[in-house]
Parts: sequence; C-alpha cells; structure tokens
Amino acid sequence: MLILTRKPGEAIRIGNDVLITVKAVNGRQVRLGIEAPNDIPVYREEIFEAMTQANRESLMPESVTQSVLEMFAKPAPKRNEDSEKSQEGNR
Amino acid sequence: MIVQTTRFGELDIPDEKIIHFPYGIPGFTHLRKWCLLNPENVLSLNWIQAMEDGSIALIIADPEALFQNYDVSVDARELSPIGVDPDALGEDEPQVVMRVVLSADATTGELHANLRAPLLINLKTCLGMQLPLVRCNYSIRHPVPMKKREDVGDMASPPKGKRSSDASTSV
Repeated sequence: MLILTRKPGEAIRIGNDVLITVKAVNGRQVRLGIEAPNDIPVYREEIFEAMTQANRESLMPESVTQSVLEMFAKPAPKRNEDSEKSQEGNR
Repeated sequence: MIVQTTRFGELDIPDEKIIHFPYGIPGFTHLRKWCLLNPENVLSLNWIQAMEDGSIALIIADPEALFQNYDVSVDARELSPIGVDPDALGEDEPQVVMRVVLSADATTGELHANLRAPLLINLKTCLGMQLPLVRCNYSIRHPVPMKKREDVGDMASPPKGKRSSDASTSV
C-alpha cells in the first residue's frame, strides 16, 4: 500500500482525472474533497461492503426461489373463471 | 450470446438485450454482462442472470409495486455511469428503470429488499449500476410484507421465529 502524508489543502491525484483533496482535519475526522469523472462511482467503503454482502446473501437456493415466485404469482386464471361464473349465476 | 445456466438451462440472449454493468454489481464485480428474465405467471419480479457465470442469478422487484410509499430522488449526475446525460434530459427522455434486489432468510423464509441501493438500468443504452442512495433512511435489508399470508388463513398462528436484531441492520 502506498502511504502519503498530506496537510489540509494538499491533494493527491490518481491518474489524470481523479483528485482527492484534504479539506479539513478535526481530531479523528478528515474531510476529503473528491473530484472524479461522473462515470466513476465513488462509495464510502463500508457501504460498498454492505452492498457486497447483501448481494451475495441474495443468491437463493432453488427451494427458496420457488416459494418467493409463488408469493408473487398472478392470480390463478381458474379462480377468475369461477368467480365470473358465480357472478353470472347471481345475475 | 449463449450461456449455460443452472436454473434456466441454455439461454441464447441477443446482444442488444444484454445489460452491461461497467463496474459489475458489488459482490459480483467480475461479472459485467447480465440479462433480465421474466418468470412466467409472476407479477412485479424479474430475474437478473449473469451472462458470464450461469450459476449467478438474483431476484429483483419493482420497488413501487412492493412499497407504495417508496420515494427516492436520484440526482441526474449520479446516472452518468449508465449513459444519462444530465444536460440533455429535456430532449432525450431516459428510459431508466429501478429495481431492488430481494433476499430471503434461509431459516424463516422472510423476504428482504435492498431499498438502500437499488439497481438502475438504462434500457436505451443497456447500461446498469447499483447506486447506494445517499439521502435516505431506507435499509439495505428492508422487510417485504408477505401478502399471501391472508389467503392461507394462518394469520393467527405466531410467526416462525422472531426476527433477530441483526436481520434488520440499517446502514
């Protein structure tokens, strides 16, 4: 890992397009300014880790996916026919 | 492009239907090509299947169908990675759809949706990304209400195992 020491107001450039500036240091907190092209996503690391873990946990075994799909199943057409028939019968 | 999948057998997806995730999906950042599949006779859900690994497929849902109050705002600039030009929004109507990834608890079967970081897919450019929303309090594991329960008529029976606190960790 490359380790650099910077003072407030100083910056680090990564490649041509990414500039990270130390804006302020208050005790244990550091404020960073990040300039990067719009098409490069910038994440807080802990959020990226949480997304990674959540996505991996979203892989469901086949038995579970079946019950999920059933939960969102369209109303069975048979039942609709029945209800239509009963409505006709009531008329 | 042909892919051998574990769930759906062999799929032949036309190139123009392949969704490119330039940075992958966190957890699967090495997989850049995905496709959307519609399960038969199912409402509001899709599969998103990895084209480069036939064993990887996630169930995604239309968040507005699941949660009528789901209200998020996304800055147009945040959509640059999927080819939305913030300066050309007026003349060029983007076709961006939002979907949330579902997960199921292995023991209780309870469903959760990642409302914090939805998938955004630009159907015009076939580019996708997962975007963590910065100004919202939604959880990465938001419980999905189980509508079907009332049909089964077992509402009176206690839920199987109460949710432990770690299952609803908000980030």
